[in-house]
Amino acid sequence: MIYPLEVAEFIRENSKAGELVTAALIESAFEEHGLAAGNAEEEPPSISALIEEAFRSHGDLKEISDDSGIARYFSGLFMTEAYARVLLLKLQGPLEMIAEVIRENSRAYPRPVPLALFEWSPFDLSRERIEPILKEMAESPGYRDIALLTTSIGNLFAYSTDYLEPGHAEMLAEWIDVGQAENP
Amino acid sequence: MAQYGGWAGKVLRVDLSTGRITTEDTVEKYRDYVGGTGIGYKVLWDEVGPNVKAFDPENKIIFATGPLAGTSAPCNGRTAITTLWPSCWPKHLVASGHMGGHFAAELKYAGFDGVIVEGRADHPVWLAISDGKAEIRDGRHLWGQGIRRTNYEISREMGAEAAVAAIGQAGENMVPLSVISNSGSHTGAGGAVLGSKNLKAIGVRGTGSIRIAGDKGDWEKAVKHHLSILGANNQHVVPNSPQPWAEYYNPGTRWLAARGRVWGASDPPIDTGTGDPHNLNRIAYRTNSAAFFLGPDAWKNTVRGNGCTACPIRCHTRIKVPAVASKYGISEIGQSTCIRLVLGKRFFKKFPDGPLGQTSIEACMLGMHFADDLGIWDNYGQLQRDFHKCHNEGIFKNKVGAKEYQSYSWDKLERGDPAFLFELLPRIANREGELATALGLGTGFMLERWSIPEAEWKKDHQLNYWKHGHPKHHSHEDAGQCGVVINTQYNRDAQCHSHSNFTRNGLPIEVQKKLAVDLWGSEAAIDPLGEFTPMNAHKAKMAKWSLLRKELHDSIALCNWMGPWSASPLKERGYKGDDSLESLLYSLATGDGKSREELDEVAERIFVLHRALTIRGMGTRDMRTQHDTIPDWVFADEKDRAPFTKGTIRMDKTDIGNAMTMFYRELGWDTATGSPTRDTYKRLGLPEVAEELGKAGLTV
Repeated sequence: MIYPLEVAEFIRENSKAGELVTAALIESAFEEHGLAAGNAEEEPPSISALIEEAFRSHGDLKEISDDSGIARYFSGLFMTEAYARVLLLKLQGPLEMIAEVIRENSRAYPRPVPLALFEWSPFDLSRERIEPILKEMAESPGYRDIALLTTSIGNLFAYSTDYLEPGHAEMLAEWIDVGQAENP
Repeated sequence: MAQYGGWAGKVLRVDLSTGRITTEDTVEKYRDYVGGTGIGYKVLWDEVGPNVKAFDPENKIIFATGPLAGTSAPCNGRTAITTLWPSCWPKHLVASGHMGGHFAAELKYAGFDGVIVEGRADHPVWLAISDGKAEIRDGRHLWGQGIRRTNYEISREMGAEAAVAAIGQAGENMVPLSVISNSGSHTGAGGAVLGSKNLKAIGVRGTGSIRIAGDKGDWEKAVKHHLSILGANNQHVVPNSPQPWAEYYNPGTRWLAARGRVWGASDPPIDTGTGDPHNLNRIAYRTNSAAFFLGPDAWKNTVRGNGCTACPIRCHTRIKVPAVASKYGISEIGQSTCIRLVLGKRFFKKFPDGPLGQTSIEACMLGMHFADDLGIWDNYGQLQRDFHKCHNEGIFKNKVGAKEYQSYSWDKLERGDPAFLFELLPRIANREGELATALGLGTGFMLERWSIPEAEWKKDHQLNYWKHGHPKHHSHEDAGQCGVVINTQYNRDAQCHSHSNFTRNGLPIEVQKKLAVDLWGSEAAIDPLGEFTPMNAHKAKMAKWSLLRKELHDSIALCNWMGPWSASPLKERGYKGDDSLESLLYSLATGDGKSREELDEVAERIFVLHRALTIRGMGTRDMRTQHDTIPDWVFADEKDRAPFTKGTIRMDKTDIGNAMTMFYRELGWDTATGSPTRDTYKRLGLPEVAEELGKAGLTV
């Protein structure tokens, strides 16, 4: 029998590991472990009903969804909404993910971001993969605002011209990449 | 003394000329100055006249900790070394070096809050301090030895637990750019003054403890609270890549821990993990100075973090680079942080495998090997910048004889061969030849020796040279006008991190601005980097706060490379730190209950005493034009962008004039001269200072 607590714990464990979960994932995980959503004598509650109940009983559970409309769940105890948003972007493919992260950084801080950032978790792109993505991005009209620059030690940074002026972006990239370490 | 905790209770005084050793009651004599630089300035004010020079026997060098050293308060491993500064040009003025490691705690456990060293021994000696006793011992067998060998020899006599603060050959030879070092890699400048006194080292062993005056439960709670608001090194409170628990990330911070980032030279390798700030047992995994400064390749070289007493940050990252053992015959293990970690590579313009490749790491290993053994100080990177300028512009060629010039393998330098350091660094330490001797003097005296106007150095932004022979240290590139003001105040590089630890903490500007309202009264106290706005009163408050917290930390023995703890990694606190943390810890430890405001006033007394020493030393009250000077490059931009336009850190001269005026006013100083007024001295409990300066016509 699956109880709302078990649903909550499943979501929390995945949040700790840096993962979002869907209703389908919850269902298949419980099936895999031989846990039925109900018992033989009564009509089993649907997974969505269990998730609803889990949300009513456990205030840390949160839902996030993108244009696809598929709901994804995480626990605010172990994952922030900001991180969950990054995971959602990741689901939209590397072009969109890279572009949106660059835009958000240029808008909110503002700052350019080193492309090496995308090699680390949760982006997990290899250096070899990033290069063709950038080429594709340069040829796609939807990403015309994404600009690249190289710091004095040869590292690539990217920013959105919608939010950052080139001179300002250059100065900030140089500061992040060289200036801070040169002025410790 | 009995009613107070925190302090060990005695300050040791050692006269090397007479061999006389005495003690003083810390609280009775120095409570109003707390410890550290406070004790140092007080001793220099009372006992060392304005015409004494750094290497005169009449100069004194004061090693002082503070009431929090040796307790369980985080980040307490600090010793201030205060003296007349031999690289301060054109006259030796008061300054202090700051040493981490385990010396401070060991000194406290031995029963002492500080050591005042005076006079000059007639032959090399070292000082043994052990559980309330001190003895001057023959040091002739140590003279000529490096710091590592000296540590080894003294530890053989005193025991492996001893902390040894020693000078190397650079200090012995009175090279102004020299350090005193303890615990392997923890250095503070001032080595040459120790050398001038024929004092090779101070070995300390203590088995005592520090009494906490307050309720033990409250103390434990305060320590836990402090731990809970710690960030990574420099109190960066945001990880540099997205983490599940984190609302923000910032690629510029020193919080490097992440799943998949591994201490590769540990056995077994250790994954630094996601770094949830609520797990207080994993604070030490957040910082990796090697990966931050040497590049991501250094993860594979990382053995572990290392650091000072009671500090979980472990910013002295230990790395293992087997190639240097085979290529250069030096230890494959090295450890350091910040500027000393990169000391070696900064002599080179390029390396065959790029700026962050294996060769650059090897250059860093060689730099640490030499600098930490010979005891060389690089003047916060100015030594290397001077070296490049002199080499690139043919100054070495002109000032050094042809034979000596040709004795250097310049081709090794040009192609980025770290072996060049074998030729340069030992010569600096041993004052061998004109080139190395001049470099070791520090910028001011080098320029004077070679008849080069200081103004040439003040024009060149690439040099970062500020004044008095020293460079800037976190100026407007970090905090606009606040940074500029701070850099005018000292007689060496400013060594203040209060402002830069805040501006670099990694939080978005909107969050920083919210915190700024509580700290300095308005969001307008801070600007986004490269989007500076004109000076205002809140920026002046921030400058004052920054300087007072620096002096407070240097006196109560908290690390200003970590504090103040004005921000935290905790979303549930709105990322607030605790601006009253110092008063909480101080009051509980000592029993001398002081509010934040009261303790800031003590810090102001200490800071103003430093100002008075500088005024007396310079013989002028006109600090505004004679001391608080600003180099030309601050007002220039390579693309000639106007001040206050996006993308430039260029400052405006008139605006900076306003900044100085507002800062002086904030401190109660005369705005025309930048000199504290008589009333300010009196308000801070320094009437005798006002009186003495008044008699010399040095007050307003």
